[in-house]
Amino acid sequence: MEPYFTVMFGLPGQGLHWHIDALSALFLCILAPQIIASAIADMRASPAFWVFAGGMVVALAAADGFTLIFGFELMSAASWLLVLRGDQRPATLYIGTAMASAACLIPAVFLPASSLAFMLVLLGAGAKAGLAPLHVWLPRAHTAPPAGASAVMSGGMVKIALYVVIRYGFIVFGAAAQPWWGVVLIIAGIASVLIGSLRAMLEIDLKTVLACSTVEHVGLIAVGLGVGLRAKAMGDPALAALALQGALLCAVAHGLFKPLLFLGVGAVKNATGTNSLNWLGGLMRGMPRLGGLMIMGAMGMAALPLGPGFAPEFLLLHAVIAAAATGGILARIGFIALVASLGVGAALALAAAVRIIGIGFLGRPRSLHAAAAADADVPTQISMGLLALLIILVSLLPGLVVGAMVPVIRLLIPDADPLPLAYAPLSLAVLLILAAGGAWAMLRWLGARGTREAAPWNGGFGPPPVWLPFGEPTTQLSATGFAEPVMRAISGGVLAGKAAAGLADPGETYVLLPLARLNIRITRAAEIIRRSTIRQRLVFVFAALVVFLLTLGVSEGG
Amino acid sequence: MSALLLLAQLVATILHIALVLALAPLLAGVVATWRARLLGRVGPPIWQPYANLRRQLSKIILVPETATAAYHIWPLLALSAFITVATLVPGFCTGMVTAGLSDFITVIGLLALARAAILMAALETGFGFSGAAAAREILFSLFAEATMLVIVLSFVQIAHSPSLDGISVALRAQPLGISVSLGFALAATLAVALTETGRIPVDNPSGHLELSMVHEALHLEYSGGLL
Repeated sequence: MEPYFTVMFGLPGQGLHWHIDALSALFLCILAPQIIASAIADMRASPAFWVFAGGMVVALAAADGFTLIFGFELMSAASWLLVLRGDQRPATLYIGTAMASAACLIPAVFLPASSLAFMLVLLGAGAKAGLAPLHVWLPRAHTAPPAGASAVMSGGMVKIALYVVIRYGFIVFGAAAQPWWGVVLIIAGIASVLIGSLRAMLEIDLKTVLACSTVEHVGLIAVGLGVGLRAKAMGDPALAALALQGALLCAVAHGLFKPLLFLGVGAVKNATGTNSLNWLGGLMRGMPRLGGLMIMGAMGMAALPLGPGFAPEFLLLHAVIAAAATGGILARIGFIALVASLGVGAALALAAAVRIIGIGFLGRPRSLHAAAAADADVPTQISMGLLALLIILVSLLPGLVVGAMVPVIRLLIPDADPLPLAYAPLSLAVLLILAAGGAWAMLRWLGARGTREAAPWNGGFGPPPVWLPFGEPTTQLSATGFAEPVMRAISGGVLAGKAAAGLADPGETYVLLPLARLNIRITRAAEIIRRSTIRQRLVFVFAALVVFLLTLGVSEGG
Repeated sequence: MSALLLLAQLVATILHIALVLALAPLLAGVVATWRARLLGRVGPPIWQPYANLRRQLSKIILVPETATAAYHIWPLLALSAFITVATLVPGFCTGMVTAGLSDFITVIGLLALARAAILMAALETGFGFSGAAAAREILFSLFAEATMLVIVLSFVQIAHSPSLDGISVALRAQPLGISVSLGFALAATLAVALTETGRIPVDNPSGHLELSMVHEALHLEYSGGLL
């Protein structure tokens, strides 16, 4: 018997219906560790946080449209309160986006299965997930609340929105699915990947870097879902299963390493008072444990082998490469471009991760606060350690996770036969450890013993004066400088802004600002009507009557 | 029978690794010598890199004061990632023990791991030259990675196998013929190889000004065995 029960609350005579299937169970498993970790770290005393978490669980356990929307909006409202605790301005933008997304989602959930309904779901849930071009709010809103709340917003809330897309695209509207739904998802996804990873490379604030990287990972998941949806609609269940495995595994991995990184950044803020990379540096000395945990998270963010992020990237690339052999010539060219864009995105993500660790944790301190940083408090270390343990499990045994996902894939694509994972990190790890051990032994056997501490060579410049224990901080490469070549070479085209004027996100230039202008124009028009004299108003009423009668007459006559 | 086969595969793999590792400095030596010949000079003997390696190994490692505890980890990580790649890529024989692992994307991932380790090493001590080199290296890597993935795609389409081992077997089995896409793939592979090894159109390995070097400047602060 399926677990299915009803609570009499909500729409009259209907109640809230609950139902947990394999898909909801998977997302509950993604949600649980990060909520526990954030609660341990700093959020356990906040009622808004628990309402937020409860809303997410309600949305996942929902069996009907009303319950789903109820949980979804509970989550939005509670997270708005959390954002409000940090900063006022992003909170306004955030609640505006949430209302727009609700305005799309509520009618869509009650519409019959059709392309219009799916596009409304995609608009509503995509805006909430931070899919391009509706992602502008995300890097601002996710950075405002305390670290624990940011962690769950970034690792959990966007997953709920993607869950809605999966639930409606594959199950509820599954019978009416068209291949072009998948293409829309792929385009939105790859735009998110490129913009997210590029901004993650260029931003200075650590939390903004992480939030932009969330946009990138949401894009990766959307690309996987899009390839899967297209393949399913075109009757290729094997490819669809491969792409879905990639997308879902990406959701699992991202739900582990992103909260870890956010919690770590919160600890950095506590220790140094700043999140700006340009004021950090050398944190590895004062915070070695936090540094080790952050390296683990950054490996996931960069999708390096033996990290949690590689297996999903591997599956996604294989799915896209396999998809390039299907469809017409236009589709083939599109998929080749997609592979190249994914490559650029992966290299940018690697650069962003190297930048967080290399600039923030290695090198020389850029301020006294960074030099005096002490390691994080015990609860934060425990919570991050918990996530790190799960990360090790997922990175070394992704095959187990993929195996556990088989019922989910079967649920989404009934006639699929999901394959086990072809990537075996355990034997790769053995090989790498053998190589490292061999190299170390060779070094010990052939090389001279012992090391000696010395002043850095630094191109032959002299040692710094005694009153600057770490040398002049400005002679070290800054985070801005690290991003400079990339910014010059490619961001001019994509981010359409001069370096001096700050970065201009295309989502802001082409979506948000025109909407704001439209808003002003409509307000002005409404203002003209409001200010009209009594005679003008009578003319409006009379004209409306005439138009109404004319329409009636024409339709009756026809 | 199968045990014997496995043993044969194992021997082939070990031989392959030994050959690759032993011959890699020779390749560098040959390239340096030919370069000097082409410029009209005599050039170093081709076994010069072996002598360099021995000399570096016999020196004491100098650790800069500003380095963190992870200073020793990065070179080892990079080297072991490169060795792992060498064990995965079929150079002298196909059908090695590691053939099942030799997925093209895994190899690209391992190269990315090595690159990340080298970049970390460059940022480790926090001085200007190596940092600036790291920033430029990132820019090259963007284009190299995208190109490599597209090359993978074209090979996979031709050989219908995602692993390097399968691809090389397929290429040997089929009559090749003149294929435009293979030609383009060769050109692109050469370009990526030039970028990744830091050769002339992208970088100059024998430059003498730290500010204008990319690949050589990444490990300016390293010495002795770790170099």
